[in-house]
Amino acid sequence: MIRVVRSELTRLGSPSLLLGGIGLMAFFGLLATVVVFVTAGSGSATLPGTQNITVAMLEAPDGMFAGLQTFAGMLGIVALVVWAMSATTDVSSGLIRLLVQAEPRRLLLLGGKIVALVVFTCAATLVATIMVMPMVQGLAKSAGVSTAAWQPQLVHTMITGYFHLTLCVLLWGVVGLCAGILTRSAGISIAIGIGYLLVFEGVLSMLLGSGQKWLPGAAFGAIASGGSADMAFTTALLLGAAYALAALVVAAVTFRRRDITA
Amino acid sequence: MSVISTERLTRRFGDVVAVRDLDLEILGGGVVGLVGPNGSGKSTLIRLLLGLIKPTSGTATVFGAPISHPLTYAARVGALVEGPAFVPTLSARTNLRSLARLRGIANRRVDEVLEAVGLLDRSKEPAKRFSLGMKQRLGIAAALLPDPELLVLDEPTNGLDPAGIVEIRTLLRRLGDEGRTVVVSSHLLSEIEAACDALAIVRFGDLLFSGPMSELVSRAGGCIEAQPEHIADVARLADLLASRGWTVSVREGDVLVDAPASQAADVNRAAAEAGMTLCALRPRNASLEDVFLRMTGTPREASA
Repeated sequence: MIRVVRSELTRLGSPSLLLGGIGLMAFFGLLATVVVFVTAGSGSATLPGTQNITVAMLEAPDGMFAGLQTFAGMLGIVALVVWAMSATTDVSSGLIRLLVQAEPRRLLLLGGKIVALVVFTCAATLVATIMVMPMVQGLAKSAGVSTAAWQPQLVHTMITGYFHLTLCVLLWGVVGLCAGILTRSAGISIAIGIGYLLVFEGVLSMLLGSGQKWLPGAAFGAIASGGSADMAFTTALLLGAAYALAALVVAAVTFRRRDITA
Repeated sequence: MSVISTERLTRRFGDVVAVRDLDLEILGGGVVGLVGPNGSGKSTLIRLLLGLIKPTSGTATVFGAPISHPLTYAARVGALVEGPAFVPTLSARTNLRSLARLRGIANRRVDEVLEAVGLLDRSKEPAKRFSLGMKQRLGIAAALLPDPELLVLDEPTNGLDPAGIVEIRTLLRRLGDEGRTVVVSSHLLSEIEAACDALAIVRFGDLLFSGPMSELVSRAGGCIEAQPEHIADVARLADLLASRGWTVSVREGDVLVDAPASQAADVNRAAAEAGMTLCALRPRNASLEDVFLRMTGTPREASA
């Protein structure tokens, strides 16, 4: 497994993935935080599973993470793109032929890829968090948000905030990997991910009413926020894990059985 | 001991039979050519042997292990299948290091194979900047990484310039002489003829010949090349000679008659009786290409 992970990490070191994945995540993290602090209390619509941000929420002990948590779905989409591209590029480049020939245990290959992508995603989320944190103080000051409640539990808040955010982002990544393996097309996988988050789940939410909280986007959003008014963190985590497990089983069965004709 | 052995190996893709009831045995050592026109099942056979796809029916072994368990022999096999494949933004060296890590191979082997294919000086450049020929060499370097006992190369000279072709041919010859088994698929018959000790010819999934190169060439015998004065008469002459019982094929304005030189006068007489004048009539020894064309009956694909 270690051999597979090291091999995958070497390929993930590609400049395009490093700059694209980590850079985009940091960019969206900064953008989300700016938007949240600038529009706090205006009642602007957010993503599925997230709440409209009020000044009181920003002044809460975990207020510094409000931007990242509220728009965690956007960071999740970046992870979805990276994970999907990692799966589909192997096929489109023909590299999958070399990989499977060198390591015929396909589930081991897939497992190694997942571990490597988890490492990559945790690092990318960490970079985004580290870039956002110094800026939050300035944004709070300019928006007139009191930061008095932030200080006592600063380290704890940062660790738990990062943990929740990373879990959410990883779950979106798993969805991307599954879509990538199923479709073998980066474009289609990305379209599915973005289309689902921005359009389809919104439509489903209207149809399902209170049942919308069980949808993936809502559950993943609740995980990023450490729980929501609709769903406790533990429930959201279990639901997210169930979605991820289902996606991984589908991806694993498909990858193990499929002919390598690329 | 046979390195590769197949028994009634069949692979279908829907209604298309890519490999049909193939019985093939490749013994260890030397360079073996796998020849056939485009779409003849060469790449499918290679994918089956490498465990990339599963057979519809039949069995096959590599180093005595069934192809259903490719892990048993994966470390002893290096392959280039349907062209080189790399992460374009990574350097040649990083691409190979990634594959070396997957196989648990030390980094120094990366430099060894880069040197073997003449890419050591340019190993820090991204693979996307490489010409097709350089990418092909990089693909061969990747196949050489595990220092394989069996090297399977699918069209390894694709995109190479003449000097590059000679280099790769020399490399293949050297690898074969070292005692490795090198299986080279190609539709470039001149390459196969120059580099291989033995040959397997496939067409539409069927095995047409398998054995030493010398056996095939000696089996071929000679032929007569007849060229009508008017190009419009080529097809008519071919039909005429075929109707007289000769086996004929047409290539580049010539009618090739499968007959010994002693029958050249009969060919000339038959053409004259039909009102056709020949501007050239010469006996020639059959080349591998002639034999191949006769066997496969697909001159255009084979010479493409």
